[in-house]
Amino acid sequence: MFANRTSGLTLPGKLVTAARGGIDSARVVWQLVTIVGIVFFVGFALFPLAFMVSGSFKSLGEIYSGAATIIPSSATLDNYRFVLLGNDLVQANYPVNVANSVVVAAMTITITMLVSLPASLIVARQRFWLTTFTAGWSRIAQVVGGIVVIIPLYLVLRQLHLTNNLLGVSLAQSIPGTAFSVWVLTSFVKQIPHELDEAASIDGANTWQILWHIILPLARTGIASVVLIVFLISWNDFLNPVILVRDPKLYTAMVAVFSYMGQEGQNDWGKVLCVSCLNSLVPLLVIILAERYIVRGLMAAAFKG
Amino acid sequence: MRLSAVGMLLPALVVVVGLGLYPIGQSIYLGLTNYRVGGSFGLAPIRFVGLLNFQRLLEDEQFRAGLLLIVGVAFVVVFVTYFLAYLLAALLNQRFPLRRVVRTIVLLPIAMPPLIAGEVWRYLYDPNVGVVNQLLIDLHLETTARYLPLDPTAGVFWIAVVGIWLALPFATLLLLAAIQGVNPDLLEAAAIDGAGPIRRFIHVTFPATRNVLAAILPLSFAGQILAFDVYFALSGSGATGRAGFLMPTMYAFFQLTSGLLGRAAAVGDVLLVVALLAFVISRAISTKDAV
Repeated sequence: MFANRTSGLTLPGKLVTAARGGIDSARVVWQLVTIVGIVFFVGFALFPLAFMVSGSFKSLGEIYSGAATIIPSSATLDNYRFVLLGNDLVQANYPVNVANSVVVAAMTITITMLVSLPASLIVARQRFWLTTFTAGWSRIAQVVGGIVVIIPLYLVLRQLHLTNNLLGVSLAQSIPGTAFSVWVLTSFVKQIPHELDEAASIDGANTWQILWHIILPLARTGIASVVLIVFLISWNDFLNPVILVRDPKLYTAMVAVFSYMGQEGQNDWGKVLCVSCLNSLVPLLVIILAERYIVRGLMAAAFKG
Repeated sequence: MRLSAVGMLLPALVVVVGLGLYPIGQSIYLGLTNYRVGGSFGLAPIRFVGLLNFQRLLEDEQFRAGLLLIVGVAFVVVFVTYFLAYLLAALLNQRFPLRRVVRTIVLLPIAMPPLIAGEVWRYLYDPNVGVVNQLLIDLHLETTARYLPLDPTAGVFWIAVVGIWLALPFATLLLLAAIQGVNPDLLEAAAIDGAGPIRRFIHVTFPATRNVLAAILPLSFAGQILAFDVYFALSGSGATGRAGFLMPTMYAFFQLTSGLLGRAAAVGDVLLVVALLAFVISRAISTKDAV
């Protein structure tokens, strides 16, 4: 059952008989190694997530009682109630933060797709200095990003009066978004036979009509991959909003994490972990429900199509 | 045709030039100035100061320590991640019950917000409430609880664990795809010649996937040098406003938020050079099919 992929071969009969004893004991060892390996890697992946979830259901008293257990001794929904509903004294900001994150992600995805879909058709189908330039940039910008870009971009957005503004955050996120999308969509478009656009072109379709009627329907799953990954880039982004936004009313869900730290010295871990769970919920659902799309998109970026 | 092609590229070019190249060009210039905004500085006129910012950075012990730390962390993260990724990819390349579920579970960290990963690991490492210290003390490996990432020698490794946790799924996917691209005839031939799984790996799988690995290592290294969210959270900067350790990205962040834009841009320039070098090295190594 744990057979190695390559050991299901049909070996010449004599060889099999000669080696059978050796192969069988080696196979048992190999199965044991496999089981130990799987337990190790599953444990490593789940260990922080398990403590994140369990901690979010613990009271501050239990967290500071000294015993860090996975199962809370008295599970409570107080952290979630405070974060989502607030209390008599404090209004809950978290729902507003999530709404901001959703608005930013929607704008980032829209900008990114409007910019990269037409560009990827041209980069995939034609070859002159501007397409080479665009393709080269889309590769480099996937590596060079983050703090290197945001320092000067902050100044550009300040001149445009787009700091402290959700659109500014989306524009900043559109840089890695566009770089990734142009690169991946180009490789998806290349998989569509160019005879199709040539036929449409002979029938009198212009480039935009070809994009709309031929490329979009055929690249649908590729586009879905890119949209989901750009969503993750946007939702998970902390650096851009924390630098570009000052007004707490405009904080995204990721920036809001630091509103729940409590007093210096004693972290309010229950609430921090509760917000951590809520912030991770959507990304984790995306990878669980759309694993194939995410993997296909990432691998298309890694291996030239 | 050419004209409409330019029209369709135009929006992308606006993003490339307006939000990409122009700001980076400006950053290279700003790194050579004393540009400051806000706070106690007011609006000082921009003055060209040559390489003064870079000289100050090199003189700053905090910056040097942070640079040294992230280089160490990056090396550990990259090598351990790709070592483990080969093992995990080899495991996932086999048939076993619940294979799809196991695959999804080990891929989970790929979607995690790096900031949250840093926060959660800070909780796990916390000297008062964290499970890691508790385990180490119970196993008599440690006597007193402390914040392990700040340990002068072993800290690098405790920090790297978090980077590895985040980087492992992508590395595994990449190597899994590479391994599945290995010619099965070669593996079969090796098996018939009596090579066990380990020798098949050393003599067939590894050489066949070496190009993919060589091309991704510099990029992965640059990714670590440029990483911000995860190490910002892990250092406790968000909680206390003071950093337990200070990577160059965080150093730039604090310079920027305190209005010292010239100095921040200079750090950005240093990181830009590192990232571009990694990119060039990766391009030089990579073959047509890889990365």
